[in-house]
Amino acid sequence: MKNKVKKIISSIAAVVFWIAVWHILGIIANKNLLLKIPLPYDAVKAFVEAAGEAEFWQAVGTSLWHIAAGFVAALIIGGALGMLSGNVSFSKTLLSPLIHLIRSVPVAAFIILAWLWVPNAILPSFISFLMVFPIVFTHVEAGLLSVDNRLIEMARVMGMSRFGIIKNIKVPTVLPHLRIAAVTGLGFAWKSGVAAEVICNPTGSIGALLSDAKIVIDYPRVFAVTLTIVILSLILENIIKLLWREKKYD
Amino acid sequence: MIKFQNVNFSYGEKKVLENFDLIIKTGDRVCLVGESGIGKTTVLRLIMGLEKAQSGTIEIKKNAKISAVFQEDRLLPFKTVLENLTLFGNFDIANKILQKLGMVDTKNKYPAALSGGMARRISIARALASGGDIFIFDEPFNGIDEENVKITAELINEYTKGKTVVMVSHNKRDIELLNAQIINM
Repeated sequence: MKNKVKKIISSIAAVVFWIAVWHILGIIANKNLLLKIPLPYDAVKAFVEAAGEAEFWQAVGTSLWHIAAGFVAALIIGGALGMLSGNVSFSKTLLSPLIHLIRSVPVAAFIILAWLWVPNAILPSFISFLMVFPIVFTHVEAGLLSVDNRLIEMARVMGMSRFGIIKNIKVPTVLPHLRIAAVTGLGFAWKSGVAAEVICNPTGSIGALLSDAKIVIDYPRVFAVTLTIVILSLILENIIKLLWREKKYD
Repeated sequence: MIKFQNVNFSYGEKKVLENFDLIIKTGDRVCLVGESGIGKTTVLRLIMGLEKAQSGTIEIKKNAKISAVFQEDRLLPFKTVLENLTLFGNFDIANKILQKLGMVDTKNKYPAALSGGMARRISIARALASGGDIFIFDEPFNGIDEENVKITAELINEYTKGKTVVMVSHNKRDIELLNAQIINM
């Protein structure tokens, strides 16, 4: 308990420290800048103002939906294909170039390419999916490689079916890897999904709010929306960690 | 019946079995004896179908169910003791075996929480709960204390009565406890 309180206090202290750094650097920089950097107070004020608008919450809901759809699709499809690739060597050979391509093409290039053919309403979900998919795929594949072959031998000798081996040995071994992929991938889903929204501007989304604020040079609002993205990302990451706890077998 | 005829097996360049013959009749209890590296465990692996002979024939009674205790415990780490047993065997038999071993209090524990000797006994319990026509035991009593070796051996004898038992052990005591006939390799 004492350690938990200590951890919370040090986390708060770290946040306060960086806000102070932002404030001090802002004051110093603003002396020579025509377009002022919003200070923490301005950003919080803009955030409180935005939070009073129904349009803002609607945008949060829309973006949450966009990102969650892409994220969940990546977990399901990436997980399934990762399992396939870890079990059937031909699928690994077949999927390997695709995974390599997705990993090396910059997200902006994907957004621009996809913008031409994918409808605006589903583009952010599609981009989130593309960014999370290889993470899930590689983690699941690595999880399968870590399966203890001696357990599989034992199960085969004792008459366990192929499905039983997947259910009782492979899936429990892979699940912790999938959990790490989910926690890591969520941040990528947010960053890439909002980037897609900023570029393709689907109506009533966080990305569109960010883009609109930039056009009218309302920088406190840009900061406020960014702050919202950070907070939402943190909340979702903690929800995942809370709902999907690492299971200890001891 | 288990019948090996002119079986040759090698790991890469290393020849392990050369023109190896073996006959184990149904219901026989045998222990393969010989120096390290002579191929005792390989014979067990060939019976279990985990290795394929490069030449020669291996005949095992069709559809024979095999239960095995490997050199390592090979318990599923993410299943409790009882789950490890019931995955392969009936719930009532699993409970009964745990009772006889005096290990009922461990049924909800995970293998990581067991001592080496306890994990070994659970590995034996799993094979017995699973039942079968052929029982394979590779150094079954490794790491089990003297008192529990006797209890476990009695249990093995009870649950493998009339079945084929093939074991590997370096310990004369194990062979005597399981009433096995020695096959020198």
